[in-house]
Amino acid sequence: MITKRIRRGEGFFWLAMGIFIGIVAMRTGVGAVKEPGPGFIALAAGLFMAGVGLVMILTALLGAVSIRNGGPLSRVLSSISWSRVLCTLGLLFGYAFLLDRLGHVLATFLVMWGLFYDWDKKNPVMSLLLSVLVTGISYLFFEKLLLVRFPKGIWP
Amino acid sequence: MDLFSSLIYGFGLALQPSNLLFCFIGVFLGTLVGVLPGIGPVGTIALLLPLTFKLSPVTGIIMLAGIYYGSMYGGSTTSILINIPGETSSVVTCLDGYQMALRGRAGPALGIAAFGSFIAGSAGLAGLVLIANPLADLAVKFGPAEYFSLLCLGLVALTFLSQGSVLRGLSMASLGLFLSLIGQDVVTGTIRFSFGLVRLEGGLDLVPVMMGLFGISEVLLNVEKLGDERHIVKAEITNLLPSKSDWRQSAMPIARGTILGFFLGLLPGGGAIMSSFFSYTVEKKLSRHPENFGQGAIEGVAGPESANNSATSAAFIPLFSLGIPGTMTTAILLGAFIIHGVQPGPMLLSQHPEIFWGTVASMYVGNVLLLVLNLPLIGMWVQLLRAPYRTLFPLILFFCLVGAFSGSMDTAGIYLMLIFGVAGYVLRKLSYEPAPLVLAFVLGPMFERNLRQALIISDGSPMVFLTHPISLGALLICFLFLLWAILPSLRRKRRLAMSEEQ
Repeated sequence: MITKRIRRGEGFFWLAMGIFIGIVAMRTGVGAVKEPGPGFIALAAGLFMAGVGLVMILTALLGAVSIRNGGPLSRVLSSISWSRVLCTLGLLFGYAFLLDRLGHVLATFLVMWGLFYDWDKKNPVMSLLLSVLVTGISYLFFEKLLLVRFPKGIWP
Repeated sequence: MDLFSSLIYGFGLALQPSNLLFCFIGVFLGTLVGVLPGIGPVGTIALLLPLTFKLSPVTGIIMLAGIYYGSMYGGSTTSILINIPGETSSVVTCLDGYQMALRGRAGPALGIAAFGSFIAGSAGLAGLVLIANPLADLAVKFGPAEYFSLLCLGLVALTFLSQGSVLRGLSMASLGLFLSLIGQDVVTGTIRFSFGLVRLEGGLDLVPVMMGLFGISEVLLNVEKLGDERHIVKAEITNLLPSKSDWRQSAMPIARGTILGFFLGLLPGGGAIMSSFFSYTVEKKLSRHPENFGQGAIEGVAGPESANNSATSAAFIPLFSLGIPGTMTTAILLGAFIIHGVQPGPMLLSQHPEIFWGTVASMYVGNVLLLVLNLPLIGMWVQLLRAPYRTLFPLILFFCLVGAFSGSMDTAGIYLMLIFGVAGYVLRKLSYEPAPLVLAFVLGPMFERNLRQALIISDGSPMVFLTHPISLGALLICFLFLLWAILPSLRRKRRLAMSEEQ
């Protein structure tokens, strides 16, 4: 069950997205029906997407959507454990950033330490041990056995 | 080669030490991901795909296929012991499996699930061997119009049958189609939709996109629930071999589940989930004691578990014969085939018999391995269920990071995976299923090629899709699916208007 407002918002999003894709496709070159160009399918996809968006808007406006108080968005936002999700994402993006700079070994160690760290118990020793273990195994398995060429960074 | 010689040839390949080892690794990992709630076969195949680059195509495909059917076995263990389906196809098994476990009958429940899966999986493979070849012969006669319409059908059917709103599914499918077009146009060589970014000129890589949408987003969703305890049935698991009475009660549900699962597995979008639900409904309807269902009826475990395994084998038929995946997992396997330089379809049997027969024979071998893994080693899987997710998720994420990097040997792959991971997480939070997007992304190039070819051949006449019977049939079914999706809204609207008037 979703609210009219949410469905209308979704509809406008897909309508705008469909129009955008259509415009980009036309700039690329749609060609003709007997000789379709590189933007032909994208135009069709954009029009279809815009059409779906329109149906969403119409179903919301005409009351064909079940209505209830408090749509999923508010429930979704309040149910998310933001700190855990953002910390995890931060560490993952951090890995991509650090990999070229620090190298595979150091970046893996730091990020694994962060990921294994138990924010409830706040016990850094266990996470330290686990991250050393994973880094060691990863180094031996990927770099020494499979000969994957990871960035060396500042690691000797 | 006749059928028997082909099977011997396939077993010769499957029993080669390296293939046997990777078949074991595949079914072991499949059971593992099936047992562990939180990461499914789609995410695991996406995650391990880069590791198969160094293997021969047949070995790589054997391992990835093993993950797929192995997960169907493993999924029942968590359903029975902790009332959480390890796999979506094992949702129904929770209803009676967990009740059996609570009544001290976890052993027979696990036993009948494993035996039913083995029987159905083997029977499904026999069907695969018998049907795939004639279907491939028929498919040779298909032109671009037929392929285009069948691809439409696969896409619409999966969108229609996947969870959530059909409109949302269709919007995701059209987005997936657009994303698949980014990069160089194969006909004119034009660079399109790269928005000035050099990284996009080669197109979006399948592996980071899949790992992000399934692997990363799945972990992020589970990270939110860290700390939630799982309640595992504590009683000792004994009597894994079902009694004579258990067999008497389960024999027909296994047979019916096998047949039902096989035919539903053939349909695009059908697959393991739908077949297990159908099987449960059929068994309950046919039972003399329907009141026992939900209270620990062994038929409620035997039927659905057989159906989902039979459907898994059948799902390979459209993939091998037509090159069209009917399920999300086979769509990712199609991606794996293409990455390994093999195009599934009608020519697969003649051009790459080693892939077809090697994989089919390995699935027989894998089924035997799974029986060994799932019965005597059940204690090990139970122990594993006790491992906290807090320790598992960093390892899953680490494999994702390494997999995304090793695909392109570039951190851009990691960034791409993380962007799609965040997108997948947000979309799933908003009840958007990523499956239609990924299926459209995988099928997009085939979709475009066949549509353009069909229009060029017919000199721009769209009637080409309506004058070919198979194409017309597929499009009609598509139209019915779409109509079915729209009609309930219209009915609801009319009912609402009438109630307001009253």
